[in-house]
Amino acid sequence: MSTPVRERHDRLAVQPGRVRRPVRWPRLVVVGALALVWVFPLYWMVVTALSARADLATGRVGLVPTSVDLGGFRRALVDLPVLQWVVNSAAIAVVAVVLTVVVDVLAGYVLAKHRFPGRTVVFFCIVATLMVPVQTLLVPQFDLVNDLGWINSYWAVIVPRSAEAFGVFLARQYFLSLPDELLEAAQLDGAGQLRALWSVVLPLARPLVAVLVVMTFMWRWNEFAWPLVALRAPELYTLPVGLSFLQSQYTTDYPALMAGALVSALPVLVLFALAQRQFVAGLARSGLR
Amino acid sequence: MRRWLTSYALLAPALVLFGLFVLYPLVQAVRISMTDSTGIGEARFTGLDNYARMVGDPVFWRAAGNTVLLALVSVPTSVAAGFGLALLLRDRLPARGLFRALFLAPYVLSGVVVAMAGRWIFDQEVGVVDRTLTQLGLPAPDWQSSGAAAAVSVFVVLFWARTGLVVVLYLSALQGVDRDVLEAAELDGASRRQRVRYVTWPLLRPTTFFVVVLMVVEVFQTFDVVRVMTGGGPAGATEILVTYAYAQGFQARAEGYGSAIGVVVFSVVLLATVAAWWAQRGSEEVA
Amino acid sequence: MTAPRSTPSTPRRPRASATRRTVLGAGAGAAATAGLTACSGFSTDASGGTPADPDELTMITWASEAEVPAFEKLADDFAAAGGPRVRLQVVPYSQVLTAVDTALRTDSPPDLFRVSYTDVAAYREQGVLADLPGASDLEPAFLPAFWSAVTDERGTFGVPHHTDTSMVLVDDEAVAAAGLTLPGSLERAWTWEEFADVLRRVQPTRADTYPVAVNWQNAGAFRWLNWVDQAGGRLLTQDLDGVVEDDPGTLKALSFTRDLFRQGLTPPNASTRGQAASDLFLNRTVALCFAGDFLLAEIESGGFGYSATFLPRDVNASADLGGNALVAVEAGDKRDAALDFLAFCAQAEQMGDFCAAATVLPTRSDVDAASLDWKVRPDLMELYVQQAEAIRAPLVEQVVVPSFSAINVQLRDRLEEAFLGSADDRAALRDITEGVRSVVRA
Repeated sequence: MSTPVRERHDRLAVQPGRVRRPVRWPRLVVVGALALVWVFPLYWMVVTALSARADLATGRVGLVPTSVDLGGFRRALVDLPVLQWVVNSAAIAVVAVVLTVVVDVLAGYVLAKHRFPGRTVVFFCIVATLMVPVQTLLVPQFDLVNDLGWINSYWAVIVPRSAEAFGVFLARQYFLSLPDELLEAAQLDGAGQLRALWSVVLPLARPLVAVLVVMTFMWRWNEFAWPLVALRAPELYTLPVGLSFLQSQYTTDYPALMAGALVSALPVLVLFALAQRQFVAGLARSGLR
Repeated sequence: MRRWLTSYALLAPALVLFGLFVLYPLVQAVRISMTDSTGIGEARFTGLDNYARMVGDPVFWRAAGNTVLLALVSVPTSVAAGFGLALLLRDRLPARGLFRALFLAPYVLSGVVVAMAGRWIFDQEVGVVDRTLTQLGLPAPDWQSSGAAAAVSVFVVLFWARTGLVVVLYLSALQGVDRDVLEAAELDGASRRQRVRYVTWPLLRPTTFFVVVLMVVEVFQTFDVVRVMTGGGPAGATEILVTYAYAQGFQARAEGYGSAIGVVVFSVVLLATVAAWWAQRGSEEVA
Repeated sequence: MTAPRSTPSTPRRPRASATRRTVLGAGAGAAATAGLTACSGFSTDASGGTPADPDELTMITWASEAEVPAFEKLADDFAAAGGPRVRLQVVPYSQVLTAVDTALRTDSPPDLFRVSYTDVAAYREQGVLADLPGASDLEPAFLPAFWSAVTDERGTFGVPHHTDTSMVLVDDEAVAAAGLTLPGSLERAWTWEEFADVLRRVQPTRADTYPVAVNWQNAGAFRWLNWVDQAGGRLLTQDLDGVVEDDPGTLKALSFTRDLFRQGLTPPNASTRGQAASDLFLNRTVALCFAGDFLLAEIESGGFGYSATFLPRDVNASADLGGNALVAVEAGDKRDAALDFLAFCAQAEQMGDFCAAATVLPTRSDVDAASLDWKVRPDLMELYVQQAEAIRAPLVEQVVVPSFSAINVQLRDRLEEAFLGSADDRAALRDITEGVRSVVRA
């Protein structure tokens, strides 16, 4: 237990953010242990991906692998047109991210900072859509997209899902946490509105954009059920759809599955790592209000 | 005022997208729920027959109970654990950013990937959990064949996948907690535990509300993990409403009935949220 | 669609830069192709990545690794014989019903698809399928059980393409250790009592392994009806409109199969919502498993010795109706060409080639199954051919009713409760019949 007086003295005597504090070893150990447990499933996925199928079946794989079998990676990545799927997923994800970010930032800003009749109702209706099970909407959405003639094109996957209520919710919360004074310049009437949005609101919304980019990319990249019915040509399959072929009807090829899963997770993890600070900042602001 | 015209104009893209791609299909889903559709060919209007069937369907009630139970158990535990982890991770810890990323990593994996990893790890014959338990001389539960164990395995996997986000949110929020207030409490003789409970926690109310909403939404959208890990079994012990709706709609060819279940889920969650919002109105500023 | 494979370069090439250039070039080529295809994905002319051949037929199917080349050969041979190109759209098995159903709702439904005998009636009933011309000429060549699966009073909708059935696969080591001799013919198949005795003799000493797993998981729940038929019982009434109450044969079957669980002869997760029996066989959790012939290629990958023997018999010897039909869509604009393809696939030579490659059984009586060049375990396929003779009409007619998809789900769920629960047999049977009755349609 640290003494209050000494802590206060430390805090007053040193500049915030440039502090040499004693490392709390017990805490570090606890956190380290928890982190190890937390990360274990991912580690086990890697071990499984590098194991031979026969060894797994009979439980001969220990916690630390003694041999490496690349068969899983080969079956998942080389025997299947994974490159095509990755490109398809990337094309969809990139366009979807742009579309969703624009829509969500606009909507969030307006719902947070503008006053107009029906404001709360609109927000509530948008958030309410989060409560509908995706499976219930699958067939009606299919019929609609089919009537629009988009089946078997990327637009079928991109456009319907750019109505991402979660993103609007995050954006609104984010803008609510920004003081009004900062945005006063943007509250002008008339034609200056869009320009003001661009030059005033957007720079302030950088962390929010980071959050939306990472989340939207993650959602679009990981989606399975909808692209499966909306994209009929095998050349257009996205990565999750393609990798589902690794799950045969009767037996599960775990090394290949885990290899595919790891490869599939990589882009999202990389994106998150790159944008981590802004991502956390954006989430933080959204969560404050 | 022209003002609100501009507002609606700026909202238009979102409104069009939501209206067209979510609300309209939802109306269609309600329409389908009132037919005997099998997913192919013509369907006959049957009014509220599917809903009547639901009332008398023991599997439906079991799935409803399981869903509520899952919500009641997983939301508080994720919130509590996330908050606790965030407390551990805040200041004076080297490599904090790395830890933060590690805890969040499972969240960015797709539901199917998490489910498959979970299924594999908890396999009651060759999975690593039971093998380790056996080697340690401990009882190795039947994660797929025992109702309680299956439920626990699903809960653990969901907890693992989702709590990371809570940690990140609380961690960020904790950084914004006003130091002076904490200091004052300390000077008043409050112990660390008391400080956390009576000062920090109440200050984080908005974050907690945010987190709870997130977690509840996630619970009701749970699908892949249950479907892949237990298939709703054994004997319906882990069947939740969404997996039941899927099984009816897409496997048993009772599309109308499956749709009706989905509509009921939506309605119940909506009503619950409205009720919670209403209750919250007193204590929080109306945004 | 198989991926283009880049040619591997020779490892010990003196000029390493040339190797690297080749690989880079191949990689760039692949990426460019991928990129171009991706760009075309943005167009909405619904043609997908490849330029559309207006005469092309599309066929939605699931297919194991062994089956894909077999289907492609059919398509190639059909094209060589002057027909239009048939393009396969392979989807994961668990999603095939959804993929077909949604595709049928579009303006460009698939021209053909593959469907199991237990699911085909649902489509037939809704008028989705095209009537086969000249069906009466084709009929005599086919075994009646399969023909009846695709035929009703309005016509014949599709061709019974192949069949498969289950047998009991046995681990050679376990057989040797228990000193068993396997019955060599269908007539000498084990009776239920003998089978139970075999299981007890095979019962291993390790706590984590079991004698047997039966293949009634998930969509295979209907295979439990084999036991019902073996015991002389029926699930559905003769007119297929209702459910038989308190049938003694069904009760006997339920009792016997529940005993497998109650006496620890099968692992608890081999129940109807559990893990596939073949999976449990492959990871050596069970010494015997019931499996269809189409699984032989996968079981081979287990790398251990195994044989097959006949399903146990009681009053009858009865085997399950497995296999699939190929059907053409009525609303497709290339319907006639699609029907031509079906007729082509139904020919003796084509059927024989496909079955040999995919290790499934022909549905034509004039295809001599014994003479086919089976790709995997011809010795076991000979036995499967014999076993298929036990596919009985009374059982077949029950599993091809239009509401069978829903019945199958009920069986799956109710049997799970019965196998893992402790209600007495009569009460469990009543749960099953109640559940099935709630979904049987007149």
